[in-house]
Amino acid sequence: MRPGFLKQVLRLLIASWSKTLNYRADIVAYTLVSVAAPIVALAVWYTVAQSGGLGGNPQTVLTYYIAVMLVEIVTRAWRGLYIVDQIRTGAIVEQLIRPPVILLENVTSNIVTKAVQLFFPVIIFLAALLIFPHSFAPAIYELKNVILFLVSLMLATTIWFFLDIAIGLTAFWFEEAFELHTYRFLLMQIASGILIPFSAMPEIVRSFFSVLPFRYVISAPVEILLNQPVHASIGHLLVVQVGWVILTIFAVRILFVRGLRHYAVPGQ
Amino acid sequence: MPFLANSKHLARVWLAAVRASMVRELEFRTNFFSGLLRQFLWLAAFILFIETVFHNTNALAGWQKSEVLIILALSRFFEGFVETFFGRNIMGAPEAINEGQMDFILIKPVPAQLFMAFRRFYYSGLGNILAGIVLLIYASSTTGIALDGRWLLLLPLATAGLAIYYSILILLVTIAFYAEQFKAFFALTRIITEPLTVPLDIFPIGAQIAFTYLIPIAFIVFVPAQALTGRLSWWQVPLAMGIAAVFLVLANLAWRAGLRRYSSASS
Repeated sequence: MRPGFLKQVLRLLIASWSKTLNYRADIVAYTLVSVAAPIVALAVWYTVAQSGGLGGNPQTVLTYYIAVMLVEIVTRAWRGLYIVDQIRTGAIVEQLIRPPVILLENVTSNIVTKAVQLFFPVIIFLAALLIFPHSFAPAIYELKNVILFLVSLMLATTIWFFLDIAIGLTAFWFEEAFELHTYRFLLMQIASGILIPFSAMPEIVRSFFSVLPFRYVISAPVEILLNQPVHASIGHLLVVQVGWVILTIFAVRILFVRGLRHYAVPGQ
Repeated sequence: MPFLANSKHLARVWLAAVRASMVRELEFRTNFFSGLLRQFLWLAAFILFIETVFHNTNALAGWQKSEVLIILALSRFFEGFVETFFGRNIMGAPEAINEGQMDFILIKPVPAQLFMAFRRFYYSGLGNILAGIVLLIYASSTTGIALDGRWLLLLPLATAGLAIYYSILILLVTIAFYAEQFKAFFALTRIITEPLTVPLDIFPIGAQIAFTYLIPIAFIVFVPAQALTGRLSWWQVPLAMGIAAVFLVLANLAWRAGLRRYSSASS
C-alpha cells in the first residue's frame, strides 16, 4: 500500500462527509425515490399473495420487498453520471492531476452518502424485526443466511458501482453516454427483481434476465437472505456475482486506460 | 376584448416556441429516437409486469387485466402529455432560479409562469402519448367498453387531472425560491408519479385518502380509469374540478410568493 494512502482515504471521507451534510434534504429525497418503486410493487404483490397467488404467502412478499428496499439503498450507484459530465466538460482533468487515485473519491463519496441514507432505515428495520417477528419470514433470523446475505450484498454493491462507472466512462467515445444511464435504470427496474420477483417471472424471461447482471445486484442477495434461491443454488448465485465483479472491474480498467488515450479536453 | 387579444398573443408565442423546439429536436435526432425507444421499452416493461401479475391472479383488488391495462394506457398518455407540454420545462425552473436565468424569463412580455412552463415543446414525449392511445383503444375493446357517455366524462376529468399535475409540479419547484441547495426535484416527481400505473385500491385506506385529498394524484389517472370502467360515482366529477381549482390557486399563490422572494443574479 502506498505511503499516506490511509491518510488520503481519511481526508476524502471527511471532505465527503461535509459535502454530504450540505445536501441532507436531497439525500432524503433520493432515498425515498429508491424505495418508491419497491413500495408500489410490494402493494401489488401483497394483494396478489392475499388472494392466493405467488404461493399465498404475504409474509414472504413483505419480507422480500423490505429487503429489496434496503438492498437498493445500499447498492445505489450514481457517480457514473458525474463522470459523464466531467468528461464532457473537461473537468476530469482536475481529478487526474490530484494525488489520490481517481476512483477513490467516488468510493468515499459513495460510502459516506450511504451511511447517511441508511442511518434511519436500518434502525427502523431492526426495530421492526424485534417488535414484529411474526410479520417477517423466519429465514432472515438465521445467522447463516444473514452472513451469506452480507457477503452477497458487498459483491452486489461492487458490481453496481463498477458497472455505473464503466457506463460513465463510455463518455470518452459517446456523446450520448447519459442516455445509456437511462437504459440502465430501465433494465434495473424490470430485470433485477424490483418490479417482478424472479420467483414470479415466466421461465423464458427469467432465463434471459439471469444472463444480465441486474439480478445479481438486487434479487440475488434477497434470495440468499430468504434462503429461497430461484432455479439456482446459493453457491451458484455467489459464484456468478464474483464473476460479474471481476468483469466489471476489468471493464472499468480497460475503458479508463483506453479512454484517456483517446481523450482530448474540450476546447483544445 | 383584452382577454381574447392576450390569448391570441400567448398562442402565437407558444407556436413560435413549438417551431423553435422542432429545429432543436432535429439537431439532436439521436436523442429524439433514443427517447422514443426508451418510452416503448418502458411500456413493454409495464405490460410484462401486468401480464406476470395476472399470470398469478385473476383480479387485482377487483380490477381485471384489461382494466389495469386501461390504467397503464392512461398513465402513459398523461405522462407523455405532461413531458411534451410542460413537465420538463417546470423541472428546469429550479436551475433557472438558482443560477439567475430567471431574469431572462421575467423580462419577457408574457406571464413568467406560463412562459417558464411552456417555453419548449418536447417532441420525444409524443411517443408515450401515441403508445397510450393505442393501448387504450386495445384495452377498452378487450374490456368491451361501449362508446357511450362515459367517454364524454374523460375530457373534464383529464383536464382536471392535468391541472392538478401542473399545480403539483409548480408547488414543488417553488421550493427552489426558499431552499437554494435542494436539487432533487426530479426525485420528488418520481415519488409522486410512481403509483400512477396501478389501481390505487391496492394501497391501504390511509394511502388512498392521502392520494385523493392530500396529494390528489388519484385524479390524474385513477379517477378517469374509474370513469371508463363504470366505477365512477357522480360526485367525483365536481370533486375533481373543485380540487383542480383549489390546487391551481394554491400553485399560483406559491409561485407569486416565491417570485417576491427572488433576487436576480446581479443584484
